[in-house]
Amino acid sequence: MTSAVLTKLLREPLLHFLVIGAALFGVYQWTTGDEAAPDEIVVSAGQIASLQAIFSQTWQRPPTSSEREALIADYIRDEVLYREGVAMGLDRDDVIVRRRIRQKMEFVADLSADVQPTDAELKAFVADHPDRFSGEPRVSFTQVYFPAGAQTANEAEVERLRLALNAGTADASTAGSPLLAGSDFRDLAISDVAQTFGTDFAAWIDKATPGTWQGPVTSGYGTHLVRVSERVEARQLPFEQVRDAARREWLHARKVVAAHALYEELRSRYVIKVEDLPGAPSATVVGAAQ
Amino acid sequence: MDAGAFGNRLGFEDAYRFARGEELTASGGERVKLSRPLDFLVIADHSDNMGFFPALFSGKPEMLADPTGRKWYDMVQAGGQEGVKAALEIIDNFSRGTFPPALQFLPGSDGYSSTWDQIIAAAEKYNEPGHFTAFIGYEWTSQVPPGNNLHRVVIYRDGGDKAVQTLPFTTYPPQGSTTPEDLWKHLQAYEDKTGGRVLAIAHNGNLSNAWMFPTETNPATGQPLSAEYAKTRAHWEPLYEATQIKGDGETHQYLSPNDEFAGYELWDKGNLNLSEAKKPEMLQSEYARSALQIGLQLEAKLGTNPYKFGMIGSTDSHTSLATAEEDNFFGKHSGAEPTPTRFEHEFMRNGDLFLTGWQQVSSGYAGVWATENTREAIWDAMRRKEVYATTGPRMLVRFFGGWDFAEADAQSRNPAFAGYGKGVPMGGDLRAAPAGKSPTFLVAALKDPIGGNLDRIQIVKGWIDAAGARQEKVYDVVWSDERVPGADGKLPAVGNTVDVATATWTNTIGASELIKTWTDPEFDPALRAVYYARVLEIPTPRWTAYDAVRFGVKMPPEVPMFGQERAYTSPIWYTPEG
Repeated sequence: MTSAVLTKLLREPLLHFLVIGAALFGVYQWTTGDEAAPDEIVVSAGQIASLQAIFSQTWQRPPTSSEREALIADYIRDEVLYREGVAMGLDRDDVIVRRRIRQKMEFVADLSADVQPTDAELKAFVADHPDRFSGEPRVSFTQVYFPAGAQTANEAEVERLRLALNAGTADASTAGSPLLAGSDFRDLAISDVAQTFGTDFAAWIDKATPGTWQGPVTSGYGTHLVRVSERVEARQLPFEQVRDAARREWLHARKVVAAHALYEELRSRYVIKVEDLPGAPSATVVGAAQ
Repeated sequence: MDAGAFGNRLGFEDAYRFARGEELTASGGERVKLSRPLDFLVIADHSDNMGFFPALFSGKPEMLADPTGRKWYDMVQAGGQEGVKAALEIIDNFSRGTFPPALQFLPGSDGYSSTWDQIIAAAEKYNEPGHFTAFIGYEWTSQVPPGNNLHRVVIYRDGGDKAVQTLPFTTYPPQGSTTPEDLWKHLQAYEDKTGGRVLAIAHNGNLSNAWMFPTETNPATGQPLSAEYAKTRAHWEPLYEATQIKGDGETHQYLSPNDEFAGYELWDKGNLNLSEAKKPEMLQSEYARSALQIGLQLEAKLGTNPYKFGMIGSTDSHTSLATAEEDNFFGKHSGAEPTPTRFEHEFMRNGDLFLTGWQQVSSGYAGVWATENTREAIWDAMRRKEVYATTGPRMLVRFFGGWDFAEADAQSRNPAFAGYGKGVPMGGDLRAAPAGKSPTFLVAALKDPIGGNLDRIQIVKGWIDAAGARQEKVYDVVWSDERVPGADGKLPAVGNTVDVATATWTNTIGASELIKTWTDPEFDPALRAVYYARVLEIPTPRWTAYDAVRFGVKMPPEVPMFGQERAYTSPIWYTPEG
């Protein structure tokens, strides 16, 4: 079975409108602010080309002439309302605009750390974090299940069965009760055992000695006797197998550091004063100018 | 509702890292980690514009031709502090208005790069076939004025090489549209261009004010629903998201007055923004169970069932944190992450209509019967509807339909062998009833290993009677604790071990596993029918009860403190010959 989740971020079309407006024309404003007079809106050939390109990539065909007119009219409408809105200060203290801009700044910081590492760098990174790039122990096992609740088998019965299984006088494929999760498992990582049977069961099986029927051990389902037939220890994987994961982790680590450094530098340019909250228990003042 | 807007500063990468089981710091500062990693995740952001920054950093020839561009590129490549310095220089140039004009609009460059590229890049980075599947996808956030929710999540079977060739469909004309038919055209154009595969999953019909599953008239056009509409919708929308944070969507007690478990975690006050109040007559076009029946009626009329969907659950979370269990509920958005007062915050208001924080639903997940953990295998399972919804618990649920299931199949150690061998799995079809036979079903559920025990499994049957009217009936099929139905046929309640004061419960009632074969006792081979299974857990504490204990707050009596979590399987359909 595979569990899943769909996480959706960002919706509310009205907000999209505002945010996309802010994003597009925020950049426009910064970059072209000194080119056009305040009351002039220039829809450049480049901008029209960009509008057409986005349309084509969305619809898989170029816009018709009336659609192109509509794209330009919509662009102008956005620009007029965006400018007037900014003039009225509607972008200020707007949590949506602020967060979006902040996300974008963090994204810029990410980009500034986005380079391809060499194999030598990755190998060094793997060597520094062996736990992250080694495989997990893997086990093959058979389990015999006794449900929790009214029909619970008593301890003596379970122990008798365990001895019989070890003596070869009981058959695991008919002993105990069926369990929908299954009874025979081959080459499962310990984390996969935990997904199916819970972490306590997985921790127990991680310590079990292969070869004999052991237990009882409990899971969220009930009680089990377990025979681990094979255990493969965690081992360092060949570099080729971990290269992609190492690159991902290396880049992530680098971006975290870069984002932190960039923020610290920008923050140090501000004098920050945090006022006391009336009635708050203790006074707090933070200054952070260098 | 914008994730960025609500204070979510965890990005796409964080969402993937969290789903994979890594510990993160949530927006509110708490350290968070999933006790059990997920196998797959779709992050569905909408398209947005990142400006020209990606081009600036990516070493495009046009940029490298400019000395400043070359310098910044080299600094980034040098890495470490140099990269940070490059970013600072760029920021400073902007703030002083001295940014090199040559770099602002690179001739011949494609100018703007969209967030879509970033979404694809993150998915590609975290997708590990066999271990963790990061789907490429987006949400088409159609909301028809005044605020009727028609949202769809689009999921790609494909990798970035194909997905990057088109942009996500948006909702604002002239680029986009709020009409589902236009989305379907867009999906077709994507497949035609790339040879890729996509599907769309609608959610929150409960907030559509009757627009989600129309009965006769297409609300977008005012025309009667057509054969073309039915065929196209059935093709692109094989699944419906039946449970999530903004309300459970299985059924409403108004529609299912004889179902004692109807009315679970409902959001039924109005449309998405509460701009229009709910009227009872809207409900039939908003809930999965009635839609499945309307689909049968439309199939008789149009030749295709437009609402032949399987069911999944999903979080619809805006926190980058996929948390659907009651004891890990992180709320809809970052402004409502765990705090002592989140239950009483006004979640939304429009005039007299409002929703309060406690009404958020800690739901749900999708279970998928896939052959392996890859984009292709999971997508294919979604396409054939071999999926089920849960409201949070990771139950394992099987549902097979056929003509020959016998009691022995339920005693088997490997019931799935009989299931696939003698019948069709959830999402499948039964046709051509053998003379004198009624459909038989093999249904089984195993509790979440760290969740509540199981109360019962029910089979919900919907059908169209000889007069063409919709009918439904809920059958208790198998239950725990050797309970005996009363003289009225009603099964006694399983009981309740929840101690609200401590937000705990015990698995001293209920069963770990339930399995049974069942034959439809009222089968008429001439009538179309649809069957799905509903699995109920014993009562367990609701997220509000965990909050009350964690923060030592007292909540008013209208706030529910426990509930029976559940799973819904995708249906199996019976269609008469001819």
